[in-house]
Amino acid sequence: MALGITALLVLIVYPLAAVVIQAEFPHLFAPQSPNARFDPAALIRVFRTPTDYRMLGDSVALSLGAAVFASVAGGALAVVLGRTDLPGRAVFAGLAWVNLLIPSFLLAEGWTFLLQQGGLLSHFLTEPGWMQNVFTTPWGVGAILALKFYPFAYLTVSAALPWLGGEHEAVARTLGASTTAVWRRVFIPLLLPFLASAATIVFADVLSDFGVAITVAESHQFPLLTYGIYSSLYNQPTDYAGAGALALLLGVAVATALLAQLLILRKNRFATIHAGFRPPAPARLRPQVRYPLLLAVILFFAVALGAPAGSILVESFLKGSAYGIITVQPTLANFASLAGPTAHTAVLSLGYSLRLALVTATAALALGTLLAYFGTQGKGGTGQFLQAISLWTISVPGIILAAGYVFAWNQRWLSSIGLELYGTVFALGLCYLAGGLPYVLRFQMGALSQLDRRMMSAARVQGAGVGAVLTRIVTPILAEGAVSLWLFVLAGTTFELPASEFLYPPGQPTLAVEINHFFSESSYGQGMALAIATAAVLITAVLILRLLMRRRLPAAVRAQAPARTF
Amino acid sequence: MGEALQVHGLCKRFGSVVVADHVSFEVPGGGYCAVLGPSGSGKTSLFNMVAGLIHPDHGSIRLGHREFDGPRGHLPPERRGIGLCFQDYALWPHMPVKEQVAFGMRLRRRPAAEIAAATRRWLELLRIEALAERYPHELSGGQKQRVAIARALAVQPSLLLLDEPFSNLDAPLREILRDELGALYSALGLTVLHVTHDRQEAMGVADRVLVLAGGRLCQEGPPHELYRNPANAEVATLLGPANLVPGHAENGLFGANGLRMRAAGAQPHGPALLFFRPESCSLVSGPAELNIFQARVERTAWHETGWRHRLKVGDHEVVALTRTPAEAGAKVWVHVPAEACRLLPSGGASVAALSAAG
Amino acid sequence: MPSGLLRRVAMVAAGAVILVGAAACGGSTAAPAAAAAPAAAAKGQLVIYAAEGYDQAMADAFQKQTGIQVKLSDMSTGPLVAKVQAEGSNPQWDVAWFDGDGTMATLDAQGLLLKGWEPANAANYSSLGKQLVPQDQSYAPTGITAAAAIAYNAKLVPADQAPQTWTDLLKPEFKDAVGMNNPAISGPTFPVVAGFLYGMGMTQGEGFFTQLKANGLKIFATNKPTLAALSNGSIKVAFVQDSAEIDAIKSGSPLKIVYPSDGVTMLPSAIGISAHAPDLAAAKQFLDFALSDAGQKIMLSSGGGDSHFEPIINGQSPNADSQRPGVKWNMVPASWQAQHYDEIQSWFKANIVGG
Repeated sequence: MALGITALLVLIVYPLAAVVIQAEFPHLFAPQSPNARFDPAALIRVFRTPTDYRMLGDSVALSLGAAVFASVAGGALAVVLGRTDLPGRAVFAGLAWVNLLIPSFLLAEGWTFLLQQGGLLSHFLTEPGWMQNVFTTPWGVGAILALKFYPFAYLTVSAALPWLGGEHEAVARTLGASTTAVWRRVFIPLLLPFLASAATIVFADVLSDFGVAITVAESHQFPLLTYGIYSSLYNQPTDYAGAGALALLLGVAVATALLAQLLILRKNRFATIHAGFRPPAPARLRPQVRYPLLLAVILFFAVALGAPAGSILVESFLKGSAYGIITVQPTLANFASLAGPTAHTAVLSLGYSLRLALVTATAALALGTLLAYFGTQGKGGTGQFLQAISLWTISVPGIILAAGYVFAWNQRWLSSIGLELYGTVFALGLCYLAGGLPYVLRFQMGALSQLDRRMMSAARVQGAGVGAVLTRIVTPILAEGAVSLWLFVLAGTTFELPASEFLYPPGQPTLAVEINHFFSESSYGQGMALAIATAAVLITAVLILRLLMRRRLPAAVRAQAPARTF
Repeated sequence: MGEALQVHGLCKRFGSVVVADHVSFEVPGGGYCAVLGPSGSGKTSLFNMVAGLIHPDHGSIRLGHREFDGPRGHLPPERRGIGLCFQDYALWPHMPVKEQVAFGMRLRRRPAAEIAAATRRWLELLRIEALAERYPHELSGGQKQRVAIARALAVQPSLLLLDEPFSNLDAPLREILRDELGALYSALGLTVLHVTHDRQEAMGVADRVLVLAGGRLCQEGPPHELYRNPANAEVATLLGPANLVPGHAENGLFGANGLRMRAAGAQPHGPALLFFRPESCSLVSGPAELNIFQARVERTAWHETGWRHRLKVGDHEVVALTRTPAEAGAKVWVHVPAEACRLLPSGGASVAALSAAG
Repeated sequence: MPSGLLRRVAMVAAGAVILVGAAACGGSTAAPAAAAAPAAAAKGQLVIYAAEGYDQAMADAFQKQTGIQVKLSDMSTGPLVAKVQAEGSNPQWDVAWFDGDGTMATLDAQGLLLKGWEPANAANYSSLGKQLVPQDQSYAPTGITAAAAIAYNAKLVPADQAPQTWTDLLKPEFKDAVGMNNPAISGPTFPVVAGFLYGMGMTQGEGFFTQLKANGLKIFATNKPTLAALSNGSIKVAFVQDSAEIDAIKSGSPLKIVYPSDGVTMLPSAIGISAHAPDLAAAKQFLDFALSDAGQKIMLSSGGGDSHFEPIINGQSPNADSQRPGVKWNMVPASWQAQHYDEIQSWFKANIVGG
């Protein structure tokens, strides 16, 4: 345990602290005469500047709104797909997954290409103005972000659904409850902790999301906290003290959210998963409900996934779409160029990023599961510490963590003891690991806290040590969820941009760096083509793995895999 | 062959709640010991401490010559070499029956052929050989119980820990399994520690019973001994239906409103509780004299082997189980022989509550 | 405590998995580099942080010519400068290369740049080039673009009605039809704003933007949406970095560029050498290469939009797409930009973008 916490400190806390501490000690890492003089000017500035706390207020409001919207949308989708006989459920479930795997910066690009003046929409519609206006309001941006993060709620609720057992419903029915009353009074309260957990992670993710908010909300009528961090870091001179102060503010916002979640969870401590449980059969929909519902689900995916992913796809087949000149003349040139000699580095970067992501996602899963195991075994303290750290890491934009890695690992005293991490693949890999770990921690802690502890005790008494319990009992039971989780981290890492841009070893660009390079050269088509090629590789991997899982795992285990709670 | 379990001076508290207060006892090798206690008595904590799932604050636990907990620290559960069966069995949902049974042997790296043979033997012994390929969700309660026992026994433990193993089963099945498994354990010479709140579960199989209340060991002994000679009102009630009448004892005579009784055993002076079992009562023709009292029949019903009368003596309620019927509302005379009566220390308000429950 | 020990062993094992895994990963990709290492070790190794379209081509050409192994980190200017500052006094880079001499001056003020060294090829500078070299020689300009030139949609605005001066943008016919980038997001846009405030004087410069705003100025995030809006006709006029405007025309946008008679603010791209460069010799060699004929030819031909710059080296001429007839260059001293950065940014944010 002690070593696990040490790993967490080294991977996450130390680098983050290296930035945050500059809000109080701005000269700690100064290139000339660094010193530990206490000077909380940046911190004071944050609290004195009305725009800064308006920024915080707007960010929190937007994140809250998006979190609620995402939870409602994801939860409703999970119920519809999980408890009814709606046609095409498997396809929709897969689409929700695809939604989760598309990285934020690509999604932002897709929405921009669709909505911007001279974008796809204005090419096909004569009066697209109202739509553009809707999507550049806070409501629109909130909706777009919610449509990105709803899969968290969807996955959490769909995993919880099977054990909202038939017996609960039967009892409620005998007491005279109608279907709606059963949902309102029994199922929704039972789902509340799961929704709260999903909402918390959406909240943190929206807080840290920069890509969508900045690209879509061109008018900047409502500056967000991440935008403040961005301008502190990317404007000259780089203001790490200011960024650190804002990151601290994010920490406070997240702590509040976590507290709220804890309060909701405290009131609702529910049963754990037991062996031998039978999930209820899906409800049969009447035709007059079935088809409108199907239409609604299709519409939902058309907006959530079809719109941004479609426009990415379209852009990859267009030439010179950068400046709003859309020639409707499909071309394969962008894809062909990836095979050309000039794009050699791009293709290399794809392989490089995939390999790196494979290693770090696997490591994140292993380390995160181990930490989650200890976090759920002991008393509440460790678990809550892990939860808080995870959520804070998720809510802080990746660029802060990456910058923290530079401060933390590019120190002369480290070089003098032979520890030269920065500038190597290790620093990048460890930062990826630090980025993926919080998701694994949250997910696995949720899953593990639902496992009947006695299953693990029984194994220990049988002679299994911690390692054997983890590999032989916990891993197989959590396998399906863990594979999904692994894929999520894998995809996120493959496309990771802010940390990569900061930490990639010179001369070895990662995939996202290459895609971004295409974008900055206005070769959007080529960038999108590279992204789509990667997405194709990942989606194929998802499909194959899911198929394999279905083959390998008995149906019983799948039905009983505990709730995947992010 | 089972080894002797020795527990000495065991203490454990969670915050302000004391779950073990200097608990000491010994189960001889091959002995079957039931730990009986109401919920909250600390029996589950005792179970977990012996299993190594939680650590005692003080005291020692030894099995044979091996120290589980003590001055030299705590042995982790996986190195105690014990078998364990939980109330809801805690079968692993991802393993078929034969894998559950083979699990412990695999961890011990036995040769594959040996594991297969041993697994088959255990499945046969517990009569579940036909279920080898099934998953837990495909099993009935009794079948799960058998799998859990087979899994626990397959590692050839010298101590078997059972946590209310029969509570999820229906009554007939419970008796069948109790007899069958009891015979199996003694044939294997296992030392068994069986934790339960159910007196029938405890008394049906155990050769010794420990009664726990509030983390303290109240009494221990053979079941019949505890049944007849409970040390206090808690033990009396835990082991069976009990009549407990508060009153006053002096010079070997117990007196309460409407009762004058002589009792066997200890002869305290001062406030005391008169204890006797309902089946010790018989209806006689009056008049009231020593060990015969008059009562009014409140309700009466057939109960398994006789008539169960709820009686009112003065302002006390007494239950009698007799072969003689009686009419509700009638006046009857009840005889309880002195050798069936005991005088217990007076326990105040809680005793009155316990007495009514009995 | 045996169980504690087990946990620790498990933790160490997990850590080992990570490190071994990362090593395997790093190892597999580092293999070709390692093969080239002996030669590189003799010749040196150059680490370049750059935000220029032609940086990869320049890195390749330099490595080929000198045998020095070049490791390039290509990124946007924002992260580049943040990274340089985070590395502080323990820099891993030898050469930084990006647009904006104001930013270079900021790095110089923090003591991060090598001062007082003059490359041999500095002799090749044109007279304009020589003016751009700072007194302490802490960085070297490699080319210039206009931080902003006026571009108009030729389908909507006839040539004779096109704006010819900056103040023409205030005319009623361009009401609600002028666009620019947000200087807080788009790096090259700060010098544009600074240029007006420096050239006109603070008060008048601010007045100009206030009037622009009153005339319905539209603010977009970066070049892409601004030029898209212009190409698409939702605005008629925009002013962004001219190399991007040229690139848009090349990709088929119906735009025409005007270099206003009152001049355009020049945006030099510049190379700085780290004050603590791990390989100082290689860094100096690279700077000379960038100012050489061979280097300039590569920069002018293989950098996408960034190749549309105006050379400041004698004997070089801009590529065919980026002719700037009659351009009048206005200079904003880098040090002035650095000094007024915060003030201008917050004024612009409060008065032009917001409210």
